[in-house]
Amino acid sequence: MIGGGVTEYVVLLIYLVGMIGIGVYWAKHSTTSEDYLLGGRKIGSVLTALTLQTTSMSGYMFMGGPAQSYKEGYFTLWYAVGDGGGAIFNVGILGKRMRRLSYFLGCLSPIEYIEKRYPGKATRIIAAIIAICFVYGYVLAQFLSAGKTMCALLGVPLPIAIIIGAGVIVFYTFAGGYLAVAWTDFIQGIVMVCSMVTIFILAWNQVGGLTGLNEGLRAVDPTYVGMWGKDNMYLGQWGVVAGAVGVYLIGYMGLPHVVIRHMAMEKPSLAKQTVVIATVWNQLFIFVPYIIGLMGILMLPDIADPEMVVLTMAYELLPGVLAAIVLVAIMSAIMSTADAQLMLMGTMLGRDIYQRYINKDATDKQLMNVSRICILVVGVVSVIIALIQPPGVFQLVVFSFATLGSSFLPSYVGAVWTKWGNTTGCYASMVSGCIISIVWEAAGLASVTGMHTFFVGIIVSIAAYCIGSAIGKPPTEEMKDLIDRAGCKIKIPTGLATANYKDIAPETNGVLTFLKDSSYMEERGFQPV
Amino acid sequence: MTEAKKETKKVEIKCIRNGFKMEDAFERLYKRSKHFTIEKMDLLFYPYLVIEYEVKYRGKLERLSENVLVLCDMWRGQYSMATTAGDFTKVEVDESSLIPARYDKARAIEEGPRTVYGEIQAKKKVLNIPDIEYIYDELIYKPFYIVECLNDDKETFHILFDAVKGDFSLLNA
Amino acid sequence: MIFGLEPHVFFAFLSWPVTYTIIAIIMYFVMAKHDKKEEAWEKAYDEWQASLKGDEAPAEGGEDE
Repeated sequence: MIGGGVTEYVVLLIYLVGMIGIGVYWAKHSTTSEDYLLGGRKIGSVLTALTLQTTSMSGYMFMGGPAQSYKEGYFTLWYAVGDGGGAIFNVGILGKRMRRLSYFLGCLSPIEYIEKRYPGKATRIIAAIIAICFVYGYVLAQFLSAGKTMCALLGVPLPIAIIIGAGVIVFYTFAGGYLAVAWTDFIQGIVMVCSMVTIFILAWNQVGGLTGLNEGLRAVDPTYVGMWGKDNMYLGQWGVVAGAVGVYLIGYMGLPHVVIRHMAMEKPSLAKQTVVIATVWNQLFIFVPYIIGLMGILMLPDIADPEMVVLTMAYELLPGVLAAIVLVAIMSAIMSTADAQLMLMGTMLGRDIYQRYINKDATDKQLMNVSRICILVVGVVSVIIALIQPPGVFQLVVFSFATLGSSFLPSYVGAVWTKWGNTTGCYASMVSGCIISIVWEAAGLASVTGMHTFFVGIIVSIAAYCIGSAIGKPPTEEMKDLIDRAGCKIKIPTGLATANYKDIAPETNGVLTFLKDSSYMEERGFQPV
Repeated sequence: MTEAKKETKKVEIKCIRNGFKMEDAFERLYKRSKHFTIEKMDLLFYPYLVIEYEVKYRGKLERLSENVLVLCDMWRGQYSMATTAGDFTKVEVDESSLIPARYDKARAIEEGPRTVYGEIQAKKKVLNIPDIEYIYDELIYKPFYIVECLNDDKETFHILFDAVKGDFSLLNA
Repeated sequence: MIFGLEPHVFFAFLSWPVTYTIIAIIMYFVMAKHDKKEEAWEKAYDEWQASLKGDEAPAEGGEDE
């Protein structure tokens, strides 16, 4: 135990009260289900960029990342290399098109979006089951890490720590919906980066800058500063490297709780600001924890639990209050991920299950209440499981990430980038991506083959999407038109398109019906209208 | 560009005079944008029934009467008031270039007065119902050009060009 | 050695923050160019749809170029 003093309690209390205040404020300001679930689609570019990333990064980045680089040296930075460019791919590939298509299709939840793009009786139920199960895995993992952090830092027993952490997360997600999530994510994001950068700068001075760090590492063990990990454990394993880079580079595009952020963008044109802000933000945030882990090798050579490297360094380098703030930053990272997952689960259980299969005529108010109740129930169930039989946090996160990404990535990307991607392809990809991830993990094939579960899952899932789409019935013409519109496929020169004269609008309609019903066009060698 | 032609049965129709020849339409469209080419263009005639009514309504002191024109869109069965009879000409055209007047003529004449009532009540603030007498009707056609174009990506789209006023509208996208 | 790392290790791991930032800035301008084109198109498309429905019809728009 590192903390447990009065300072930690005071800082955490101020922080938690602030977060609850934001939740209460937005509970009073969200009136329609669109407000509650997607922040009324009014999330600006800065918020989109920051929430996109803070949501993507859980407490794993504070504990798992530094711990991994502490153990393996520079090799772990392959994950950061992929992660650093993730926003470019995620926003660049999905951002604008997904925002437009979800708007045209009138979707609020990422599952509803899949169903409308890939219409079929089983679409929603398959997607909802996979998403709910594995997002739930994520939620559970966050609750566990929140509990463990609070337990270690405040010196309270684990069950109490889990209940306190989970209670606050559920409360503000439950109370305010997406706006609370987005705004608290924003504040948490700022606190996170400031804390990490502060530790980084102080540690940087201690180890003598980048050159000092690298020379120090070389003196301890030259393989720390090599390409293939400590003791060259991954020597020549390009499959692992490709997996480590590729997974984080493209994997976020398959996570429903991340892609929902695109749907909430205020305007498609905000995507460009989002790319820049998110990318710059990522360079500040993603590489730093891993490098702090490397600094830990020199500064804390005998640490018992590498996952505590950031916390311990905070206490070594900072005065008590600032160290407490850093601990709050770690909690906030965990909370920002957890509340986004809870929100998503509320959305899926409310709209995708309740409205679809239980009460088709649910009013906005009923839907909002059901989403809130579902969030509460999920939170309570998670706390119970965490208290009775807590699974390993990091295995749970990695496995949930791998399965969600493998199941949904081809369908989300194919939805806006292909006109041939169809329902059969979507089914094949979701089912095969999910099954291969489970089998690969359960059979321990990752260590045998040197191929990451996620990497294999995505390849199989993409192949299934292509094959399924080749066999299945192509999308309707209306859907193809919408995909064209989502991609702003420009058919009419702007000068003409903007010069429609209102006086002939009635005749235009009449002529159109006549031309479609008659042989006028054909007789004159025109293309059909 | 080629002008599409196909020989069919010729009929004589009464038609509103073209304000815009094909060359004028070309010029007007190309002025809007240079990012397309016009591939084909042909005439299409839209049917209207011009119906004249005499409206008699009583003021407080005197009796007023005036003649009004109602235009009935004979393809869609929609009515509008016309301000002037227009500048007509008789032309001989291919029958296939006419949109058929599928709306019932007797019904058009019978229902035309509703448009007149609405117009009078809205514009002249007359509350009593005037007597409306049918005087005469005539089937006329309004000329349009159907223009087939290619964009820079060689994709086809069509424009409806009003040959009387020079207005135009996209038919598909 | 670059900052105490062999050059290939340095470039493999630490050249990316700068590279990604440059790519993001280039993407900003590319996307901005598309936005300009797309916004005019979206506006025109919506107006056209509205005019076909007989809703509030559009006024005459500007020329391109």
